[in-house]
Amino acid sequence: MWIADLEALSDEELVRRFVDGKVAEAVDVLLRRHQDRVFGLALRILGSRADALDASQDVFVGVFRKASSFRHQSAFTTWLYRLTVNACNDHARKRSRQPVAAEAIEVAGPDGIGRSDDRMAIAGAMRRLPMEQRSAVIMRDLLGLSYEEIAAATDVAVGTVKSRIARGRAALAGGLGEPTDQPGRLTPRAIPKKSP
Amino acid sequence: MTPHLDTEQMSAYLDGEVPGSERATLERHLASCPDCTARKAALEGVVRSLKALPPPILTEIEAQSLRRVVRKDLGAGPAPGAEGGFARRTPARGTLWRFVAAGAAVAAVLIGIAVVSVAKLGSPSAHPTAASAPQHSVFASPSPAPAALGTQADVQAYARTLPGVSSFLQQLAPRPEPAPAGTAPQALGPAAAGTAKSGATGTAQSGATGVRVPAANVAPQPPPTLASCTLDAVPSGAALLGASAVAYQGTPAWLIAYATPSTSGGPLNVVNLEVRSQAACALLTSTTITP
Repeated sequence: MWIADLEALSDEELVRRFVDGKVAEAVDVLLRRHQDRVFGLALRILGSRADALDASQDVFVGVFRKASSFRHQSAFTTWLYRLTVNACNDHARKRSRQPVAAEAIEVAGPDGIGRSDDRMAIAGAMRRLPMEQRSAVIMRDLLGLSYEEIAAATDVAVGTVKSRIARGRAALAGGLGEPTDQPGRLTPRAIPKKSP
Repeated sequence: MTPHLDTEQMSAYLDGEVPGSERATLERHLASCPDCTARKAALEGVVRSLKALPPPILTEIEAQSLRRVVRKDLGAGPAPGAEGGFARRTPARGTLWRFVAAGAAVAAVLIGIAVVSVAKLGSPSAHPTAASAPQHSVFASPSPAPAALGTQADVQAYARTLPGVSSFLQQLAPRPEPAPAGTAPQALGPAAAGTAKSGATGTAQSGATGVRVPAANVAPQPPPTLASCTLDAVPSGAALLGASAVAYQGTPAWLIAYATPSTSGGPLNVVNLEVRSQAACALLTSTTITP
């Protein structure tokens, strides 16, 4: 089968071809399709490009080793995100330190869009978030996952995801201040406390 | 007046994760509460700032390293689909090759390598011009003196003299029908290829300096050969056009030329040129020729 034909297949079908049909090229297609997303999630969580590369490597090695255990009733991407979050947790644990998000928010984007001081401010605030809140916020606001998908990827209840995202965002808002009428600018102003 | 929104309600509201009935109540409160409206604006600002961040993207070198590690692990392990639990080890070259050679396009690479590997590639020495005769091509008799290239323009000019590249550029036929799986390609040209990876390189790179290749799980690497380096360079589905020993800015290097489509699934119409060091298969420069 040609790569072009494989590229038209769903993730789940590619896994099936790899496991049942021994179609080795399916690995390449899945890798190319998801490598940036897995790496991006790992980089945002771990904060170090080198650590994120190591974690991505562990994720994809694990994906194809465990491909036969993939349950086809769930989306491949959910499984992939779960492996990524677990790999990041393992990586952080091995390093015996809380991962930092210094590089996670890259200051200068390749397109030059955005203000570097805003990005620095976000980086500082992200660094202080607990790991589980950071992961939840990243998956929601950077990857656009639903609460249900995040719950499946992190193996917690939807209510827990809701709480983690809310607390993470509130902490970020507290660390950043609130937006002014200048688009993209943030000023250090306190946010009102939680409602009674 | 209804109670203030708590942070969870506010956050879930922004995500559209609040049930319809509760949503109406929250909106009524927001319409009359400047405090909650300000807090909502603050959270919206955070979400907007996060969404505006550029997505991290793997460099081509990092992506290749990732592919290499995964392929090696697969080559070392049991058949696809078997449960894990086996030790990671360096795969036998033959095993790795069986894996990567499964595609017809990669078979084209192997044929090219087979031709090149018989050539004794001499040490680099000065060569009169960048666009000198293509005697170092995989399709021609080797010469003891690799071409000396100094710039991307030199690389392009020299690559145009390789028979596979010049032939491809002249013919540049529409994408052919694929050959039956498992059959060897007829020629080292576009007929041997499917489609290539997306995002063909188009910019110069300054080499591997500063790029940290993930070290975990990677066994000590033997020195690269033109064969192994070409396998790393040419993506699945691409068509190998030629490979040649050159000296790039005084460094013994290999020039590897392969064709990819400019858009995924499209016809092969871009010639990708990679110059890689013979010492470590590190990318020294890359460029493309688009007719």
